[in-house]
Amino acid sequence: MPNFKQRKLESAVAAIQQQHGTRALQKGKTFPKERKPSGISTGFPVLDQITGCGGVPVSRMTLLSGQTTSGKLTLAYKLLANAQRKGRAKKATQPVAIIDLNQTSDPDYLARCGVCLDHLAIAYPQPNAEAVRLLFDMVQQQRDGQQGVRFILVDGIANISRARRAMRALDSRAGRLARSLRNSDCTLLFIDEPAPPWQRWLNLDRSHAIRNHAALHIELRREHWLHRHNQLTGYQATAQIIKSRWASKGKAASIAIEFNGTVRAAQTY
Amino acid sequence: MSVLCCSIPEFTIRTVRRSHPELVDQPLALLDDQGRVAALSNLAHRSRVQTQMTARQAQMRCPDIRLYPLSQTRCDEEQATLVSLLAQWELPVEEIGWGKAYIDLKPLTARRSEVKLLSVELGQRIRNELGELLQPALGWDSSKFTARAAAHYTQPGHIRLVDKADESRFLHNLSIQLLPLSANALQQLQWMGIRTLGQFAELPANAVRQRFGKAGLQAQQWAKGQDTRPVQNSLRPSYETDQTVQLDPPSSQLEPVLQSLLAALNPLLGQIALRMEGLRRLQLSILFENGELSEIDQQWLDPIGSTEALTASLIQQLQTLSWPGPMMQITITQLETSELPAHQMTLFPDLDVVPMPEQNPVDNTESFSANQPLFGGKSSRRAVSIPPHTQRLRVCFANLIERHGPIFWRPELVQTNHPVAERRAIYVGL
Repeated sequence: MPNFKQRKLESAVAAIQQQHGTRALQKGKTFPKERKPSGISTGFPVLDQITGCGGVPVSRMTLLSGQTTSGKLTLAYKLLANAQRKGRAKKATQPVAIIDLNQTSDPDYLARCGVCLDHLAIAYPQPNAEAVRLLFDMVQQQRDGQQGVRFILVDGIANISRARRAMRALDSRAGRLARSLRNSDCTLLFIDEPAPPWQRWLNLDRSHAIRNHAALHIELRREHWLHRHNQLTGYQATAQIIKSRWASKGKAASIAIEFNGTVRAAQTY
Repeated sequence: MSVLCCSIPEFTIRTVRRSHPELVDQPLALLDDQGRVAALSNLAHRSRVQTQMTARQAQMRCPDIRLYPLSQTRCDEEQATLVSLLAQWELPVEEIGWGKAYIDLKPLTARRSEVKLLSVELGQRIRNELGELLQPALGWDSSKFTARAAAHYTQPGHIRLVDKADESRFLHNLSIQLLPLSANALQQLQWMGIRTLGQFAELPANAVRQRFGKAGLQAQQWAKGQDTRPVQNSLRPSYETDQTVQLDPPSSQLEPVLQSLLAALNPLLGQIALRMEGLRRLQLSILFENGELSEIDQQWLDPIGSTEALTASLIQQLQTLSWPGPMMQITITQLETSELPAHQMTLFPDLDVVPMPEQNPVDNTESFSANQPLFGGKSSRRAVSIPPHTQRLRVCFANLIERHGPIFWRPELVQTNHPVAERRAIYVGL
């Protein structure tokens, strides 16, 4: 701060303290900056760049929203596959879990996205308060140092939102969940349908509690289908950062997903 | 007391499998007269098929499931054979369900070594008569509940003997779902974090009584190993009543008829519930205004203990009955009851299944000489090899499974090129 501005500030503070006492105005403590966590790669380098932490942040909550066929489930499965591999290892060794409230997990598609099924557990709780309790227990287990899962994917928040008690439980404890995650080595990813902007502004969308406590919120939107020789080969989607603690919001990246037996990521700019 | 519990798990399923050996390794469900699943095998249950589902629903959950009609007559014959084998020593035998019975060995002996010899002899006799698929699991203790728990946590072809001194230690870590409490009571206990019999036994008695009533207090006594019920030498205890429900005015609407019938049955059901028993059979005689008489004979494969299940069955029976006119009078002619099985709780979606021995064996086996080598044969002992990755996941999820039940599955691709997507993978329970 320039000297004259500094002097002006100090004289103003001194005047207030003289008039109202020294406790009326005190210098605030400096808060430590939040350390940027490491990230789990999404499999799309251009998307990893704009998130600000090299992908989905570890030990944080992330929300992935998008309409059906926007690619959010594919992206989530690719994240699962990458989370199973520690560092740059090619072999999957870390256990991961899916809390499937829609009961629509497809093991074949999971394998095609690169997920190692030997280290994957799928939980089918009832879509009520029991599912919320299960989520907390899974994170708590990792936090307490017991052997737990490294990545939890929650698919189907819409099913919980139909049970009022469960939704209230999730809303009231989302903050605690985020704090528990920070002390653990576990990453949490929620998948939800997108809400209109006006609902988000007024916090009327069903995932507002998760959105408020999430460190990263990505919204996916399918742009168009990809064809080659009149054959459908995949689709192109846009991933927009709605919220990120380490990058400016509003950034977008174009990603393409191709089908040819395995689900691969192709880069487009 | 000296009580031996004989239990043949999946009795009706194994009866069918004995006649059709090709079904041994396949998921199987038996359908009742209404085309709903009445009994299902472990494999079918792992594919998330449930009782009371229609055939189509069961096939959607498990495309490979085999559906067979339930033959009540055949099951009755096998049951009669089993009971006659158990009664050969002329000791009190109390039948408690399909393939299950208590024998009071007190007139003969209460010594562990002698009971072991008797159990081996009984097991071999049943196996020789009914076949290897229908060989029983035997559990022995000084009380009925503990003997039944011991038989439940033993594989067929094995015996588990629990000494009186080891009762509380044996029961301590067992699941609370062994107790035949109502769904509400079990759910409340789950919310409170009470998962084992030991935890339930440690609760203050006054609090249990205040919250769950006399039935809860009795259940707590059982959880402590204090079950003083004698073995009654009555096969299928039944109550013959002539309770008559007059419908004034005569009604041709289902709702008022149902209300009147339930009002008459409720006091009886209350007495049955206090004894922790459920309804197995209900016979009604219905008189219509035009003088015609109809009979309803409702039997349940597993005893029911909830008013909702009874109401649903009565609605179904009354709707399928042909009504020649307004109903004037209903007479309750016969009630049969028996002990509530623990696995009845699978009717309720939030509650878990009591794990079968091969899925979740009890760990506290060092203190007693449980799992004796079976009664002679080798072939029924099958080594179950668990893949190492499944084992690792189980270790990882052990605490969660204990808290939330068997809701964790590991998918496994078996036929990647199958045209039907649902058939490309199977789910292995953790």
